[in-house]
Amino acid sequence: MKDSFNPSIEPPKKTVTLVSSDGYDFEVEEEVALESQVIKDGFEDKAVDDREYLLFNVHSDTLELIIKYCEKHVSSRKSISAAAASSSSSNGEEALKEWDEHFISVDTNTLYDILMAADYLNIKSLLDLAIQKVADTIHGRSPEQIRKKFNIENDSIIDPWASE
Amino acid sequence: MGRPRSRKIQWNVSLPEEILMDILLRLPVKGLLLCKSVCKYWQRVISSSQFVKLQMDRGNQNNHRLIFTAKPNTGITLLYTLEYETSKVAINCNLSLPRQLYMVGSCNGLVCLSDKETYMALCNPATKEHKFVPFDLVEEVPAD
Repeated sequence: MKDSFNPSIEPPKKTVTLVSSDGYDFEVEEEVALESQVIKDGFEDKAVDDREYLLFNVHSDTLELIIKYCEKHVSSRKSISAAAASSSSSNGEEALKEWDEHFISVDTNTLYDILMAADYLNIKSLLDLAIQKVADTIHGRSPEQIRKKFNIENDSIIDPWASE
Repeated sequence: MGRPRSRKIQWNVSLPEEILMDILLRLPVKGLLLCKSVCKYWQRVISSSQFVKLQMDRGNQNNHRLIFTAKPNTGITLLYTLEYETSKVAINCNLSLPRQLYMVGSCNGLVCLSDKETYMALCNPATKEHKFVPFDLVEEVPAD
């Protein structure tokens, strides 16, 4: 196994094994894996000892990031609702937003990998975060700057509105 | 482990159309116009009727504004917009149309302009595009 994503908290939690496209096993808590709608769909029909998912489209580098994101969101949700239950003040949502912003500030290749993985695994909040990041990156840039940033070949005809 | 750093992803060929649309829908119209000249793939997606429809639906949810022409006496037609939320007036576009035109009507963000004699044009103030309509094709609807 590449890395441990199962901190030894008692009592031991149910886990699921995710296998990356390059063959690495990641053992994660059930609730973390269930952040993916694709895993969630039909999860109950799968035998308990057969909870292994082969993610053919997700490289281990990316899967590590995806798991980090899901773990953070599962734990933040818990602390936010705990704070709400004890009616103590909390800036949990604000802090999570900041964490997200930091998380998604990556190079364009990594951003692409996260985007495609979030789409493949159907993790809606992460897909939304990545799409917004791409839109923010495009915003305010010239076509030439966009092409450079996203490695796009210039096959375009000259657009009469481009100079405005 | 780890992939070579030199790996270069081409965002035009490898990005599914559905995701590209979702990205582009979050840009303001002016940004979209720039994106049209990034590459042919992006241009095709932005010009597709499906994207135009999605964009229009989104626009309808967001900002309500009133479009009007000011009394044109300089020979050029100016379109103004008045934003509902802020009451801000802005010159939306300066069309290079040859006459003094009046607004006949509008629908889904398109504006119909005419001198009410010989000349009629449909205009999209957001993209600053316009098309002439042959005046003899226009039938006057009799008033009830």
